Amino acid sequence: MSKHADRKSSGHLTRQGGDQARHQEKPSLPGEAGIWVFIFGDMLVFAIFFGTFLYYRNLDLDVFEVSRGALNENFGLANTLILLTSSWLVVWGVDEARFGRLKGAFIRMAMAMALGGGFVGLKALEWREKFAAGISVVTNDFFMFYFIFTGIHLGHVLIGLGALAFASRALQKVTIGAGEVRTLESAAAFWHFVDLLWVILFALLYLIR
Amino acid sequence: MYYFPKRITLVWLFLMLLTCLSFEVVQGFGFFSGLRMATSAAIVIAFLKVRFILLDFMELKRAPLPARLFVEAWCVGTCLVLLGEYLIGSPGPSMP
Repeated sequence: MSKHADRKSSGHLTRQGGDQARHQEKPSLPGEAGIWVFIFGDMLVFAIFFGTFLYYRNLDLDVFEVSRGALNENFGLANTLILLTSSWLVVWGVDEARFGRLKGAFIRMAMAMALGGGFVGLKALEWREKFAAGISVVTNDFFMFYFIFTGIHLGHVLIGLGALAFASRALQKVTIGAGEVRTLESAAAFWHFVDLLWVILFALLYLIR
Repeated sequence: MYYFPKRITLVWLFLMLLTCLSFEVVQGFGFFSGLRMATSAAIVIAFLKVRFILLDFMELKRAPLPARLFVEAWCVGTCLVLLGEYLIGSPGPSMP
């Protein structure tokens, strides 16, 4: 089945994919408009979350500092590197889909999703480590923010994985249409957004001291 | 000719490097001796990374102007607010 797609792919730009097209003249947003409405709105909501965290941190520096010290920053670092790599693979995968090379696109999406699964696994381990030490969401303000923020983010990760999986189904066909590429682009945009949120959470929860 | 996304791969490697750099800097192994300076650097580096993700990964570099302005303003504004909150609250002199 995929032989058809490979025969089509002579390496020429059959769609708007690749580094070159990313810097094309005509302004446009990839994916569906609706996903951007959601992403931009969520960006505002999270900006308020971030600001609130630092406000409460300023009210209780000692507690926040000691609590941060109880975090395993290696989990934080590993998860950041994992999501960044996953996003890179998603960009490449979308490029391949735009070129009509569906098998290559599917492989990259699958790898990206596997890394996302790795994030979820590490998060579970990290939380388990906390619970085992008797730390939970009610321990103090820092850990209230820690569990609520990483929990909400984890929810986004799971939704993102579902969206990527749903959008990648079309990659198992012989050819896909523009609408299916747009769906893939929408899922990709959301996944990069999830990555972006974690980059900031990593700095706020694990790094600042 | 097989396609390889050169620019995006460079951006990714740079983001990985920035991540490790900010991780090291706050632990005092970098060339920042002051904690306030190191943490401020970590915050700014985080938003530099975010901007790369927005403009390159999410392809907002070629977005319509209103969208581009929104994300740039969000980046700068959120970074400044968080940096300000951090510096206002942190004790000690600002010199390292």
